[in-house]
Amino acid sequence: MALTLQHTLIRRDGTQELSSSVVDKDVIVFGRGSGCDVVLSGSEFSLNHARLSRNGTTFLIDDLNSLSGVSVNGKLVKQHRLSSGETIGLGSREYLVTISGESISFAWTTTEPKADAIERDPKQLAEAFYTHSSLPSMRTISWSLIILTVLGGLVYPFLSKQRLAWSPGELTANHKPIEANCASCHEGNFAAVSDNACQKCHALTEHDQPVSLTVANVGATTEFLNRPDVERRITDSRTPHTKVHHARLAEKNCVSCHQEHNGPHALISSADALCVDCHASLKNEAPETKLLNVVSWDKHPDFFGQKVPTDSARIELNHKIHLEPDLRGADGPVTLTCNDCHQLSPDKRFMEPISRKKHCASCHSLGFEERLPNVEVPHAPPDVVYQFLYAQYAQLLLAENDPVRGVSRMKPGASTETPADARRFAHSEVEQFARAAERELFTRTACKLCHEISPATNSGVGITGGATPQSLYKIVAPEIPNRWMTKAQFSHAAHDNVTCQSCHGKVQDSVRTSDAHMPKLDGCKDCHAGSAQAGKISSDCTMCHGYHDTVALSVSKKQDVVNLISGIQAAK
Amino acid sequence: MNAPTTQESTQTSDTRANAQSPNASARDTRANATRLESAKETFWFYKQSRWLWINLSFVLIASLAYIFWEPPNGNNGGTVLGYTLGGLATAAILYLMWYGIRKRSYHSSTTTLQGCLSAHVWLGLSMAIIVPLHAGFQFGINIHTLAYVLMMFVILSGIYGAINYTTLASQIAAHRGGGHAHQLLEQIQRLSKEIDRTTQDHSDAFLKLRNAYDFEIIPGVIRCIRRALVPAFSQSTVAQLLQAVPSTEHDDGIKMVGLIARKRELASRLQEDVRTLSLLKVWLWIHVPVSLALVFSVAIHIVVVFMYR
Repeated sequence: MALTLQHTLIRRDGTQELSSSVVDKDVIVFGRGSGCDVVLSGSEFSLNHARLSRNGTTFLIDDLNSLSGVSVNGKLVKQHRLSSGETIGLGSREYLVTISGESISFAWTTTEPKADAIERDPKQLAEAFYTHSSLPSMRTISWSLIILTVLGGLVYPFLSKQRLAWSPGELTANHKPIEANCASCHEGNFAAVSDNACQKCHALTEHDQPVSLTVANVGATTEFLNRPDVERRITDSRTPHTKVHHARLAEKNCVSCHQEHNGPHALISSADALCVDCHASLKNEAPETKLLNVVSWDKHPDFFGQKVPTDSARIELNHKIHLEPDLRGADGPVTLTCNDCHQLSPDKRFMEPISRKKHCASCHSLGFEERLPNVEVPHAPPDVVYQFLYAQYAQLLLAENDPVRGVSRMKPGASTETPADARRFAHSEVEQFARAAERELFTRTACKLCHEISPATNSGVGITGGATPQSLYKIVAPEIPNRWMTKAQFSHAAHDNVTCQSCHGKVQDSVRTSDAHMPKLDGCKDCHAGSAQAGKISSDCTMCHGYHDTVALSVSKKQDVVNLISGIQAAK
Repeated sequence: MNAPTTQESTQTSDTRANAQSPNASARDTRANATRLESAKETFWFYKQSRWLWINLSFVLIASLAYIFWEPPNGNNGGTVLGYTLGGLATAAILYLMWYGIRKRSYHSSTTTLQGCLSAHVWLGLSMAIIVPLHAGFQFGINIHTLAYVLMMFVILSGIYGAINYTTLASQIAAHRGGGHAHQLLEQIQRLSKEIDRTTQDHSDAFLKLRNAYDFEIIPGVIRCIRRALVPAFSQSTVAQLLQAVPSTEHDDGIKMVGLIARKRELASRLQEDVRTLSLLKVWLWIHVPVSLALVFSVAIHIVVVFMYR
């Protein structure tokens, strides 16, 4: 039996090298042992691995109980009759079988090993153990990263106009809808924000026209902003210094004060420096101003200048009496607290105006006649009060002279007309009662208790004179001030963790109406500090003072904003 | 770029010089270790920790300014402090990059390389705090934060390198035992051939014993770093297989086990040596390329911020 072994070696450069040898024996043994007919080197081969034998034209392969076995077309076999085209596997070696008559050939292909560790030159082999030869070149990595950075960070955003990656920070909440569209504000490549861009949406009249650059945004409520006539501007508090202010503003543009990309709540600059650079020497800049110079919070002038504030209300009020315990109330003794009369407005910033109906009526009765225990005069102008009294007494008199119950019953044939003198008598009797009650109310009891009352100029024309009856008294309008420091932004709600007395002082000792219990600056300084100070609230000018007048967005501009946002959404 | 720091090169070449005479005395090795020890001391704490204190003061002053100075619109890169720190950080980054050039100029006499390295390390570390102070801790998904992220990669890889350098440099001499990588490999190859010869014409049981204990060296840095060059083996299996060898081959079996044990020892030494040297270098593959990308991202950051201002 002649076995031809055909070996194809594929070199690393791709060239092929063919070699063949012939083994001519009756039985051919494959194995690791040096006595084998075909010596296989490798740790997977047994000493005697397999045997090839021939019986006529039949070739048999036998596994000699080898370590890694013998396989035909991938299946392990113990003994197998070979035929052409089959692949025999001995360990890692795979032979392709070709049979022609009495000769057989085994062909196999190997590629030249890349890293045959044992055979190669150690110096060459050692190369693989040096860091620089095992990793990609640092130069390649560097250039790749640089190109990636420049492409991703500069070129792509520039070409694609997807430039959010350039945005250095979040926009304010109001600008959030236009955040993705940089060109809404940055008109052009690498363009800073121009005032023109701001004016696409914002009516800047409060900046353009000094007249509306007022001192404080008094009444800047959402209610105001929602009014249909928002185009109207508050112009009644114009002050002479606004022109000076505007001249300063003209040197700047919008973004010098309103810096974007600093988070959702930071568009309005609250630097004290923006205020005090004028207000520190305001008298020099605008000599006609009535305002005092302000250098800093620490040197903030007193709230009412040098004056002691007095309450100008024309009404009698004694806080001391009202705050005494166990007052006589409608349903027994009551002890009042501040909030029984001073109640927060719905926006929780200021106090509701005092109202007699809500705050006084339950204790202070306007009753006038013991015979009419449930009747009170209306809390109305004196004439109305007198007319009410007259009507009440007329009714009372009629009821008492009831013809059915009374003695002067009409006789048959007698005239139905009340004699004129009897009518006059009735009128004068009613008037007498009414005037007495009026005198009592206006000079001693209910009205007199609170109101400043003076005699009326008319002589008190009665019904008998044929005219509408008029009161003999006149009430001076009470004019109770509702807001005191009208230029300040304030919120009682923000101060609800302190007692009323801690700011308003010893109201419980006050006996005069004119005592104004307004907070003093020193009291504010207990908690508020101009700059960061341990345990105090850092407070800048804008905490209490508005900068511009209420920003009134015109109806046309509102529409512009709506169009802009819907345009962006549609583009998405 | 591929070169290690000069000190490292010096030490390595020292070791290599010793390696020329394979039986270098233990005294020399100890002397080397001592020198490395002192070198490591001076690079962190060069000249009474001069650079540590300078940079600590820098960070402290910047932090105090950040805490006590309240800009009108809150802290961000656009305030006076933001611009100041941004400018200083840019200058610092350029100076830190210059170290890559400085370490190659061996003839410089005005400064010592060790001083420069000390300044490089401490200034680099201080940037991890200075840059967030510059930005007012405003981070987002944008190219500005990308620059910070890249910088943190550079700093962290630098910390890793500096720590490796401090802890591993002194071990270089110990592993090699006077052997160069290729000399070790030569010995290993010689042993492998002898093992092959021993196995020749021996029984399959003998081969099984060899297969359980012997291993093939597959070269690679990563394998060494992962300590996977020399695979584990089961001592009891080897002992059992040795028992199973025919008695005629028993002596050869014991001889082969001895040879393989020696091969394992040499390979382990090679593995540790390559591992140590690589750990002293691999971090540079992040440190250097990312620092170059960082310079470009800082440039983009500056262009975008100032053009859109």
